[in-house]
This record gives sequence, C-alpha cells and structure tokens, in this order.
Amino acid sequence: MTTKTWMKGWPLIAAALLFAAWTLPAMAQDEGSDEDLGELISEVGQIYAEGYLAPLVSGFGINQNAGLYHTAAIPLTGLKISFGLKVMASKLDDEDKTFRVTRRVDLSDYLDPGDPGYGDEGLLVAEGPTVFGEVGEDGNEIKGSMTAYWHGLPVYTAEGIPALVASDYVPLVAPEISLGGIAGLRATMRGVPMEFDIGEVGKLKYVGFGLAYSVNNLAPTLPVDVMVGIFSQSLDISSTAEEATFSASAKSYYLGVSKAFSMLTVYGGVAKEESSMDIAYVYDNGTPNNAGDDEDIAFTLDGIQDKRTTLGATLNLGVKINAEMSMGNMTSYAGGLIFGF
Amino acid sequence: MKRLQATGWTLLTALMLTALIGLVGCSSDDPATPHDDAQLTAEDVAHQSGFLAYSIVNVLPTMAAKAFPGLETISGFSGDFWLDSNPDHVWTEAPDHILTWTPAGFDFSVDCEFNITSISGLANGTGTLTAGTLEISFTIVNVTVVGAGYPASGQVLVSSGTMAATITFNGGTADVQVGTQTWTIDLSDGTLVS
Repeated sequence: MTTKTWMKGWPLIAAALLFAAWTLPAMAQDEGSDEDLGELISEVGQIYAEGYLAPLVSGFGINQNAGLYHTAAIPLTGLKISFGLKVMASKLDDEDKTFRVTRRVDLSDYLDPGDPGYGDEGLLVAEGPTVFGEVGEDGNEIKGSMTAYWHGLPVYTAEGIPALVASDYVPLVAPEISLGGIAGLRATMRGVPMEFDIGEVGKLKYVGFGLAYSVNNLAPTLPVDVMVGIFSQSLDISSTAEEATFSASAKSYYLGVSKAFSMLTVYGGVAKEESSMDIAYVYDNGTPNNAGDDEDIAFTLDGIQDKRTTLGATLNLGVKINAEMSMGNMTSYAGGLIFGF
Repeated sequence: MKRLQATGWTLLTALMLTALIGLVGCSSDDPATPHDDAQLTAEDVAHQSGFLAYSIVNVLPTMAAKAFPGLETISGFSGDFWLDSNPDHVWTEAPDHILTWTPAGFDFSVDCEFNITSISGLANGTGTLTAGTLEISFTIVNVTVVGAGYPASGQVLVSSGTMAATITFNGGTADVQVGTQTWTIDLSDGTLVS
C-alpha cells in the first residue's frame, strides 16, 4: 500500500470512525429507556436477567465473530499492513423482542410466613420485553413481570423492567489493523483497547486478536485462495452508574475461500464458533423476605450460535469496500472499509 | 499440472458445495431468546382443575333456571355473563363481561371465560381460566345440568401448559385425573380433599 493511497484514504476512515462514534449513542437513545443497562438490570434478579439479556449475549457474540476477513488471499512474502473499519449487525427475530423464563423456586424467597405456599416449592414465571423489545410511549413504558405460583395460582407478583432500546438489529463497530505476508500468515488486532461511552448501554472496551494462514502457501497452484484462521475477542461493558459489568468473549475457527475477478473479490467460508457473556451486578432485592437487601448476582450466559456460513464480496477501488451475510442461528451482516491488502 | 488444476477445481467445487450445504443447513435451530413452557406439576394442574370445577358448578345451574335472556351474576363472583334460552346458552364477552373470583386464602383473582350450550339437560362447551399469566383451556363434555346440587355425570377436559387433566363429576364430588394420579375435588370451594 503506497503513501499516496494512505493520504487519500485517511480522511475517509476518520470520517467513518466519527460517524460510528456519533451514530451508536444516537441509535441507543432513539426509542429507549432513560436508564442505562446497569441501572435497569439492578432492579431484577438472575432468573429475569437471563431471559432479558439473552438476545444481547447472542447478538454481541455473533457480531464479534463476523467480518473477520474480506478475502482469503494472504500475501506469501513481503510485510503488508492494512487498516479497516468493520460494521456488524445481527438481525433480531420478533421472538427476540420478548422472553419467558420459568423456574421451580422456593416460595419462601417471595412470600411472608403465613402466606399460602410459604415454605413450599412453586413456579416462578418471568416474562416481558427483552433488552431490545418494544419500549412503549413516554409515560407508558411496557414492563415485564415476575409472578410466583403455588398450586398453579399466583401468590406473588412484581413488576419487571422495560426494554433498553427498541431495535431490530444488534450493532457493533470495530476498527482493526492487520499485518501479513510472512510465510502466508496474517495477524489481526481488532477493537479499541480503551473505554468509550456508548449511550444507554454503558462504557465499552473491545479487543480481539486473530491469526490466519494461507493454504496456498502449501498448494500454490490452487485456482482459488484458501485460508484457515482463528480469532479470539473480548468485549467489556460497564455501567456508567451501577456496579454492573458485562464481559463478552468470542472465538471463531474458520475456513475461508475467495476468488478475485479484476476489482471484485468473491469470498465465502464456514466457521465453528462460541461466545459467552459473564454478567455481574448488585441486585436491589425487593422481595418480602429480602426487602432493602442488596444481593451480588454473577452468572454466565452462552451465545446460541456455534456455526456459520458466510458469503461476501469485496470491491477494490483503491480503498476496499466489502459486504457479507452470514447464516447461523441468527442472520448477521457485516461490511467494512479496508486500506491495504 | 493438468491433474493439479483438476484437483484444484474439484477442491473449489467441494468447498462451494460445503458452503452451500452449510448455508441451507445453518437455519435457526434453538431460538436466541427463551420462551419456556410453564413447568407445572401434576398436582398444580389438579389444583387448577379444582378451582375450574368450582366455577363450572356455579355457572351451570343458571341454565336450568330458564331465566329471561340477559346478563347474569353469581354470588361469590364478580363480573357477569350472558344468559339465553332455546337452547340454553351461557357465554362471556371479554373484556366487559367475564367472571372473576378470588379463591379463599389467595390475594390474586382468576378470570373465567366460557361459551356453553345445554340441550336436553346436557352441557357442552369450551372456555379458559386465567390466573396471573397462566391460562388453562377446557372443554365441557355432556355435563348434566341441575338446578341445585352438583352434576351427576359428565367430564371436563383440561389443558394446562403441556399437561392435560380430566375432571369427572360424580354428584356430590368430582375427581380429577392428571396422568396416572387422581385427586378428589370438594365442589363447595374447589379445593382438593385427597
């Protein structure tokens, strides 16, 4: 990549970064709660939180494992560097806007002594909008509920929380830098290692590292470019007000294939992946036997997706522009601006 | 060289086919967000059925009275329902005309909606009983309509979550069977006596 290309491309990527930094908080503020994620989640216990946060966990995990490459061609010699900005979005189904979690519980945690069902086992049903569900009008928020049942009849009920922001997609933006060209290897660092504010969600820090290897280094006469790779990432969200942290990790093991046709490169790939989120916060427990007590909550949720198939294309106009779609448990889209190889 | 090229195209074709198969096969399996069914026990469903039976034995006698068509109320319940005759017919109309009552000892009410017709003294119909966010549906099958006392025969088929129950009327009492377990219902208040 020449200095001239760099000089042309730098204003574009700076503009894209500024746009992303401006739009993400703005998106979070459209049709959203006035509280941030940590403040909302501190009002409910673990059973409710597991259902409420489920699409966030899967969506972020799927996004982290998206847009990992825009070509399977890795230079076999000569050190090359590239910079890029990737934008990812996982599509939410209507089913992801609401949740329902049911658990058998000890009703002593929800009732006073003497209440029908105290000391017995019962059923807890937590349901309502998820973190990306319908918010409702101002002054008429749509909130979930928690109801405990004894012998199939309600004996305790409490209000849940509203959605954080109404959205049909879970978005993520990631700048990245890649080094490649030595023995068919390409190393990539993605993310921003310092915290930045993303509106109602909180403060975010995102770092990932990946290594890909060109199979063409072993089989140079292949008519297409083939690579294998691995990528590991972590994404930390901390509430701006409450002691809440959300630490997402994601790993992807992928095989990519591409073919260049003049300015257009078509690529595809398959991947095995995993993701999870460690969630910790202080719950303001308002149930009858615990009123006023704070309870430390900590648990881990696994992302739903374990494999994906990707199809995409990259247009080389000096600066590269790519777009791809991935199919798995959720459909996700990714695109990017790349300067370099 | 030609063999290598042929191998390369075969590999490419195989990879593209794998990707396509993966694309077709990678449709949604498990949903990202849980939507659990209610984890009710057989005893839970039996208790729900008991309170349902209590509602039914209070509603059915209104059809034997041959009252003038109109809105009907029942002592111990709030709300009302429509009553007509020829044929004898009782039905609710949400949200304004449904039956609501609070079982003794509980703080929360249950809502009962139904559409029941009686011909030759036998009632048949369907309805729902809603308690909190749980809803059970029921079908009344040939339950005898009496002006006083309790039905001598007939059944109510109950569906609650993934479980099913059958209420069988025996005159003074009723039995509810859920799976292989059976309980007896005290029809004076809907509680289970054994």
